[in-house]
Amino acid sequence: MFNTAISFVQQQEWAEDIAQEVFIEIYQSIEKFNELSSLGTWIYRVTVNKCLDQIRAQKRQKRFAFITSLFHKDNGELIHDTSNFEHPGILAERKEQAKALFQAIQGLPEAQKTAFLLSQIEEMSQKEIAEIMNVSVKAVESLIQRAKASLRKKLENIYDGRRK
Amino acid sequence: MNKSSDKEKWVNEVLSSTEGMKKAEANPFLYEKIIYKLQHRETVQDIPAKVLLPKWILAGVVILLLNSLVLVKEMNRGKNIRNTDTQGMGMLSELGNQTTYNY
Repeated sequence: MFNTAISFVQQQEWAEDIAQEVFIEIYQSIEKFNELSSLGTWIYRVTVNKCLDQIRAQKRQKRFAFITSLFHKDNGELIHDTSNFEHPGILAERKEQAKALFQAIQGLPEAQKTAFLLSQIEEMSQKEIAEIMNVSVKAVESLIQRAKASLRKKLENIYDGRRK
Repeated sequence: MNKSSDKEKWVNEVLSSTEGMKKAEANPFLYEKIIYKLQHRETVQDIPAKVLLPKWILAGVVILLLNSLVLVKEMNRGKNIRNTDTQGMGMLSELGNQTTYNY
């Protein structure tokens, strides 16, 4: 749960908050749990939704920060900057590359990001991802392919930007 | 040619940088934090209706009393104003009469 959250929101404190909220929500609404899907799927679904909510809030905050920065240069700064995120589970020799990867992941659309992270970070099968996202396996396959293509483009831009 | 192959190599390295990664572990106190939050929420949320009902009734009675008090005060003030108005009118007419007599 925490591992998924930190990959999505790229911030330790937010990920902990999300883990807490997910745990509490599951504890409080366990009676509402639909046994057609597995408990694990349900937990992941709640986690992903909470993470996406947090990212949306983060984006709103960024927009607001931009507007305020037009008026007050000092106050417009964001408290948490996720552009230099280092996932704590990444091997030491790959940290630099992973940093670029997570930076590129941030720019993906929600569905592509979800499919890619669940497949790459959580190493889930496409069937499991399809259950969590409530879409078909084919849709997941397409989302992952599009996410990889989009990431490739973004990374090429990052590479070019660094060479300049 | 060399530049583009370097770029492609780097992009591939980045895309495969999550291989062999371990699961991120949360703060060891996260579990305690969750338990505390759950207990705290329960104490806030689980106040039984039996305990809350008399308080709500009392609050309702107090609001009704305050409203009626204000109403009674307003009514009394209305009466007083009417009384003072009529008294004032009487005095004025008396004054008027007196001035007529003086001329």
